[in-house]
Amino acid sequence: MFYHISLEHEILLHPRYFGPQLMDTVRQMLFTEVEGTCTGKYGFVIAVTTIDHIASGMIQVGRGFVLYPIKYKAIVFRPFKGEVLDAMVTQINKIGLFCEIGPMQCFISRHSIPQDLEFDPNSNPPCYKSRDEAMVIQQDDEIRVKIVGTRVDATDIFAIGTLMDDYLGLTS
Amino acid sequence: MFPTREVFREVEVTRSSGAKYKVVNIYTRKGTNVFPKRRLCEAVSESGERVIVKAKSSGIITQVLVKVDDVIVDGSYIVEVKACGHTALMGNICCDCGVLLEEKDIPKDQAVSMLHSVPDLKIARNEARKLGQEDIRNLLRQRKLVLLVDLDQTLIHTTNDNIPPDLKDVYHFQLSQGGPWYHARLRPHTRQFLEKVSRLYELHISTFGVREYAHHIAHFLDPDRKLFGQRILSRNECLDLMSKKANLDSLFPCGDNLVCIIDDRTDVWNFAPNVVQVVPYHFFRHTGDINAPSGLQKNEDDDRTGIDFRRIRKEDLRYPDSASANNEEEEDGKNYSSDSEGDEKEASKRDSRTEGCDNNDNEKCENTEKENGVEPEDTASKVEKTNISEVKESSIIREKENECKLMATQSESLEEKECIEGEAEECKDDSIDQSESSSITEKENDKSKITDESDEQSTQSESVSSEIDSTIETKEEIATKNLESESSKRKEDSVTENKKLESIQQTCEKPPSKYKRNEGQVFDVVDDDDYLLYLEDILEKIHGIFFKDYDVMQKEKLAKESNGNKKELATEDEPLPDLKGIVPRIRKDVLKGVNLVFSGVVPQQMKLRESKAYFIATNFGARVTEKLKPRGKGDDQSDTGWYTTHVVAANRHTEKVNAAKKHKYIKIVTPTWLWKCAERWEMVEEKLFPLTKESEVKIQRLPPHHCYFPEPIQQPSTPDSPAGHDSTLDDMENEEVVSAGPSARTRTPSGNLLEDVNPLIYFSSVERTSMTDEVEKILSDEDDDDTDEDEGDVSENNVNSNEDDDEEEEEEEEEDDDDQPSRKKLKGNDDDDDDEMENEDELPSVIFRQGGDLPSDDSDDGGESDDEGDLSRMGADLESLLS
Repeated sequence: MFYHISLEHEILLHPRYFGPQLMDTVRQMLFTEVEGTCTGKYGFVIAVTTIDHIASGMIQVGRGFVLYPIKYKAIVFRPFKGEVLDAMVTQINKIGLFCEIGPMQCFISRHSIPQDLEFDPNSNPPCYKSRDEAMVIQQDDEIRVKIVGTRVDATDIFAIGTLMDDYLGLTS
Repeated sequence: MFPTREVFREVEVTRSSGAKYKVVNIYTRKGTNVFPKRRLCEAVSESGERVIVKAKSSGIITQVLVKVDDVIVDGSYIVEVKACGHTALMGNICCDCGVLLEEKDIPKDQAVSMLHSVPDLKIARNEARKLGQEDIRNLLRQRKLVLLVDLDQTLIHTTNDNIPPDLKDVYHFQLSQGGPWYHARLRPHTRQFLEKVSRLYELHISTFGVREYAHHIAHFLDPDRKLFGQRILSRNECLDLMSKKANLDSLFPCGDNLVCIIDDRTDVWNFAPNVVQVVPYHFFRHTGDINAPSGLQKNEDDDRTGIDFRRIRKEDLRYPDSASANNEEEEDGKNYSSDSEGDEKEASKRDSRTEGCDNNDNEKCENTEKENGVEPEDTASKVEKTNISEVKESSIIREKENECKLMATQSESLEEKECIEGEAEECKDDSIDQSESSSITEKENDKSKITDESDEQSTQSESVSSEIDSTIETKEEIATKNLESESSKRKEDSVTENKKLESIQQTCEKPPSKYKRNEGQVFDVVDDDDYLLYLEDILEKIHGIFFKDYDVMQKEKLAKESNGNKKELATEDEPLPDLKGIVPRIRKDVLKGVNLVFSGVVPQQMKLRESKAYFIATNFGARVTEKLKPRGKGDDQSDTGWYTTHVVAANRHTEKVNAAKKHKYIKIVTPTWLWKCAERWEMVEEKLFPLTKESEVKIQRLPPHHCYFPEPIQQPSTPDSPAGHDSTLDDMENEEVVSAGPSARTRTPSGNLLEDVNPLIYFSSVERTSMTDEVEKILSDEDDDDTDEDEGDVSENNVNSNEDDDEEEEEEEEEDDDDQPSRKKLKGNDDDDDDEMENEDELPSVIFRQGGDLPSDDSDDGGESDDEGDLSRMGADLESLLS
């Protein structure tokens, strides 16, 4: 799910950036340091929308670095169990298929793929397809998945999905 | 519902205190999945204590056994759960039910990672076996086997050294932004090889390179992902950093019956019998296998084979007019790799010889070059010739760049970019449109004229090449023109420092235009390595025999089934031929019926059965005996039905050779014959390896490393392996002889009394004169450098290395062609020495990466063998002199 939330971040700036472009640099560093990261609590930070407040910087004793506490708003993506999302298939193998939901990796076990779809190792690229080949899931296809579990690491979220529900599967 | 196949029903019992509770709230319903600590229901005890009942295991609720207001006690069933078997785990998350498992719940020992690319994904063993069965069935249906392909030195050779950017079939890439550049050269015939083999085998890559490296190379080999797909196993996925064997079990949980392996080294496979050891591909000199596991590097011939682009560059600067000699040497190195008699020593010797040959003697060298340039088409060779000269040009430029480092780094990166572009363009269109390229060159010519007047040499050389492109000239003319341009360049360099700096800057700016000029043109090195053709045959044979066996087995099985009327499907334990048995069997068939006697090959203090030569011969099915066993004529020996067919000899004057000469059916060959047979897995024509005076000099007593593999652990006690059986017999018979030691080698009676008393009598007059000639030649060596016998080389090296020590600092770049010719010659001769001196300036790690010896590391196997070879050759020479 996507959220627009207020977040806080601290930028540590090297003294060489002290100059007329100082605040621009701080803003720029916020974007580069924050966008694309992932925290377990809030999920993936997709984009910073507004910078609400940049507090005055604190010079670090003995180092000369400056610490800027920043309050900003950002769009975050936080997956939840039971959520239905669209994904792009990245890899197909005999054990299941890997897909990407935006920045997040997701794996769908072959047990979670409807029984009528069978793995075909001989086609290139390999695919899951129904007997009559009416439905073929292969690399780069778009599928709709339901998340059944997530594993949250310090810097990444990994999801387990399923296609065993109504209206799930190939969307394209 | 999760189709969990193993339906083991587990009934949840929660809460156990004996008190009665009343259910007030139920949080689950049928069909939802539960996981540990998920709330099931809420209950209130009589005393008003509220408890929340939580699940202990994960799965799907198939039935809720309580209702609101029910009274539950200890032992009551609350829900019925169809538990998940957690057959597939991604780290600690179950891939079926999405439950995070706790550390203690993860079944570690029985999980295998079946995917090449995602080692995190672990499958329970019984599940993996099922998948493995499916794989095998699928393969057999397609009549395919599995082939694990090694990359480094098997299909490609990669270097980090600076090389000319416009080589054909060389792929340049960087693993990370700003990282080192890799240059991977494709082994000749690789694409055809993969194409053909992929019809018989499912190809997997198995390399010790890092993942990015493996994928880069895979993309290079197989842009459409048709051959390898995602079956790429790299260092990142290796379970054991020293061995590739560990992954085999998890990739093929049903056994590796169908697995065949091609690799340039067997030690990483624990000397598995299904490894087909290939001749290492060696293209770039000074570079070994850059991805060899640490501690397992082997660089015994890194500095001897392959093409040395580094040296070409340096030589060029120092000896601008020895260009053709360099050409020669280059081609020499290449020719070696597939030279039918090519042993490394010989190649290196030839190298040094060409180096040593008088540089002024250009004509001579050119003649030899003509001989070496084997191309029948005139035009092709011409194009190549021009390319060679161009590369040299560029290498000169590079050398200059090295002089001014600042500029170098900039232009280097520029160049590299350029060369990548060039690669891409070259890939698009391999054939060179002559007219187009010439027009381009002309344009470039104009440009360069406009931009820089003083850039004389570039315009000159460019005009030369444009002439080559447009008009038809003779080779010699081109060569001389090039030489002219180069020498003029040299002169300009040496005039003044200022001017030199200028020209450096010019050349540094030049590369972009230069590479544009080279558009579509690539420098194709003559690389005659054709081992993959042989390998293809070997693999084809393996495939054929496997499926022949398989068909027989299938028929037997069918017959059994129809006879016994058993309808049970035995697909689970389908009998399969095993490549681990088939590959050694094929190997044993190679020299079947060959009965060998070694002479002068096995060192005298070594037992025959412990020698490498013996291992190789028996591994390939030959029968090796101590003594010569002539064809019996009615005597009791004929009962055994065999006689010596080959004498593998390193010396023409041993007892065995003399004895063998009396029998016409005994072929006398050099050890190289045996090594070649072992490389190619076929009986090589013996006539190519006769033991003559010439071949005797360059004999290679020890097998090349890639030929040597120790005996598999199991004893060759099978009845169809005569070698093992007989050798034990022989050993019994000849134990005394073997243990007799050095005295056994002393001149033994050859059957002819006269020869024993005075061997000289036995020689013909021609032989005798040739012998005296030889003696004279050696004696006159001290003041004549042109004849480079080994003894001469050694002494020269010693002298010269001392000189080098003194002059090293100043001679690096300033050394010019005013030197005495004799000095040049010396330099040429001891080139290796020179390199070493230079290496000392570099970091040890750099030397190490290039496969060189570290100063302290003297115990290199290759070096040893070299020494041994030299010594034994010297000994042989001495022996022949004395006799």
